[in-house]
Amino acid sequence: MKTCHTVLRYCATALLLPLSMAAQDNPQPPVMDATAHRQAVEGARKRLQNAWREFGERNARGEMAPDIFSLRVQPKILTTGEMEGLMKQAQAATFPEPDVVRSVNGKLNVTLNVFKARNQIGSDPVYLRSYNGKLVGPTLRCRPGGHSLHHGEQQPRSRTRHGGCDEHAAWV
Amino acid sequence: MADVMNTLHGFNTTNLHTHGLHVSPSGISDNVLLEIPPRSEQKYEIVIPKDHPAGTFWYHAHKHGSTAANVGSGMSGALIIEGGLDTVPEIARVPDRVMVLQQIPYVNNASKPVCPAISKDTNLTVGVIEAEYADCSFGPRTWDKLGRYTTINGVKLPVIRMQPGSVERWRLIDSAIREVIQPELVRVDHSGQSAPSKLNFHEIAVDGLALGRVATRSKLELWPGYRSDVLIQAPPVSGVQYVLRDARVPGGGVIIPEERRYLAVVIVEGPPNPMPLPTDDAVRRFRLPSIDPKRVTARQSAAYGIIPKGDGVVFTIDRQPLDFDEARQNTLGEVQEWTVISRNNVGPVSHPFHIHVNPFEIFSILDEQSVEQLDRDPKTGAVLPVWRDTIILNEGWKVSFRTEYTDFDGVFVQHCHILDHEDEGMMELVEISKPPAPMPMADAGAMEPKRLGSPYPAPAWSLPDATGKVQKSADLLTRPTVLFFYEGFACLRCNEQMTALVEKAEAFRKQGVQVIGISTDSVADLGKALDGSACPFPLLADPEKRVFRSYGCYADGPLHGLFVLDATGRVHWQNVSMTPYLDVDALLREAGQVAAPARSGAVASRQP
Ligand SMILES: [Cu+2]
Repeated sequence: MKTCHTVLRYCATALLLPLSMAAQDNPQPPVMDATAHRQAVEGARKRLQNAWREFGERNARGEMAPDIFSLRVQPKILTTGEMEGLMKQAQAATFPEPDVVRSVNGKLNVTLNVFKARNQIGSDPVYLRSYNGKLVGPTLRCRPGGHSLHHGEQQPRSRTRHGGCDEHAAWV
Repeated sequence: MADVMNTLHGFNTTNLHTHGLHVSPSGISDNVLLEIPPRSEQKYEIVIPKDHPAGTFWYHAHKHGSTAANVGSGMSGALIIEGGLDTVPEIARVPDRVMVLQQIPYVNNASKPVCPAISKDTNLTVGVIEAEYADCSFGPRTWDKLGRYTTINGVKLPVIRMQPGSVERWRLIDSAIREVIQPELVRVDHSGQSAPSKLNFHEIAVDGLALGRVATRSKLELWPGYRSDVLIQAPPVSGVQYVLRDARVPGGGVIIPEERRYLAVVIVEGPPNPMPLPTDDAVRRFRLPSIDPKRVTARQSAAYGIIPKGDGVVFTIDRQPLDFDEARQNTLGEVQEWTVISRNNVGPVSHPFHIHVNPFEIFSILDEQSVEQLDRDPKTGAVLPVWRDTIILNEGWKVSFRTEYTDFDGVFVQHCHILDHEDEGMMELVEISKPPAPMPMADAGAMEPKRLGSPYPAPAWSLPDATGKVQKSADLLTRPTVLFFYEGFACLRCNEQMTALVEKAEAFRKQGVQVIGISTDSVADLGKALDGSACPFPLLADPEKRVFRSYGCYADGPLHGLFVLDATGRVHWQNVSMTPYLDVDALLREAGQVAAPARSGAVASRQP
């Protein structure tokens, strides 16, 4: 966009954001054999299609209008007991920031490993596909940096290979 | 259901999208056509231009078929480009919180009453998101039936502690996959302290892009994919508490229990620490400049819709589900004006429209009564255009925006950000091509018809014929073809050319050559050609002139084009001009030459 070029000049140099992603399935003891699984998946697809058909039919009957009760209901002041109950629901007594990965001298290296991981939502255990085993991926923070392509960077756990991306080659 | 492409499938295959970034969609950059199968590794290198706007962007998985399952499981994160608004003193000094809002639709034993796939011998002690339970995690009303809690950064009901009078910046990222979230900050304590019953959101950016003002709102409307950067100012007294509450109004008789609406708790405590909010003047210069309507060179429209089909529905854009062989064609350098709507045949449905790579400036959102819904300047009443990368399309509303394709060519997508809609087909490939090297129309009319040294594959299309039936190039271009582009039934010169072609229709047929016409007429107007008399060859409607453009038959308006294609759909001869080519005998000779090898080939192939 030509329009950006004139306004936001404060970015001193191009940023490189190499990301390496590794997908892996974390083998779980098979719950069903392949055929049963395929049938189960097809069953789910059929039910999902049916749900949409039903959605259309209910709409045609005028049953999907906004909930009047929700429109009227207003949040209420909580009693001391309710407040205590609320705080018991709180999974973290403080505010949890995701992990943070920052750019160094205009480059940011991060590895996102994809695998199923055990975590907890409220009091429920879950076993879900994840980035790096968490329920949220790391926050990537890019700050315009200096010319750093030839400065070696510490990246002990990154699988990213350097080189091959010249910040001035294609973009400037 | 043989065709699984537009279903929820392949949950273990993934890839990556940098949502909102203005970067290349090609190669190992922001390319959502890449696929990362299990036990494999993909390197990405995404070069962010040095003049890229600063702001709150995000990244998430985007493999067609597994997007809802992956993002719904928490495979998303914030991607922040620092600078810009961060440098405003009133913003620079305040705490900066990333808030990734999630609605993770996991299924477990407790879901049995609402999930028929959980049989009596299934034992789901942990919550999962899997294809065999897809109807319980993804579909109409499933989120409320499951009764899950919205999380922030993977946590249910986090607690935020603020000092009286202090200010924080919250970077809200809506990573939910289907429902809208409508946050409000409501007071819940009964301390009797004098403090407002609601706190305002002072919004400074949407979708990472600065508003250029401080928009004070009592409620936000966050659709999947949206971001909102807001400043929150605690009241000046200690000992009061608020909750961040989702005020969403569901449909279909669903009632959301109050505690499920709570997203976070805000406790105001400690010594006062008053901080100022920035003024409009302090943030104005960070807004992207507006696109001058006079610069618009091309128009586009898109209608998102769920359409009944067979026993179920299909998820479509312009009535077509995703087809990886078709791409909406654009040219680098174009300044485009788009109109996008949601039109469903299953009752009213809202779809969050998102397009990759280039943000857009919305200049009008009309509701079903044609009432403008954009913010207005409180002093002048003027409508305030807004830059975004995702915008909700409500049924019956009309969203209009302008966008500019300045620097990145390549193929990317537009799609619905209700991610199961996307996985099920509500997505379309969008291609931006480099403008062709000095083209025939540069000095229009002077172009000589040309036999090409090296034939090239003709661009693909799917267009409706006069009966409204969609015809695809893949199906039709299987024998030698004369393809002609004409302006429309009202064009006298077009009719002259068409009459000449009709006179020789039998001669073409004898050579094994089919003739197909493509017009800027609508389907309804196609039949008006030749003064309404029957046309011996198919005529197709391209009122948006997308195919005209993809064949280079467009320069400030449609041009006349004539192409001779072989049986594999390669162009051997072409003429593009302001005036239609009328030497039909010469055309017949060219077509005959192209058809000859095909005919002999056909004969040969018939022999065992
Ligand atoms: Cu949708």
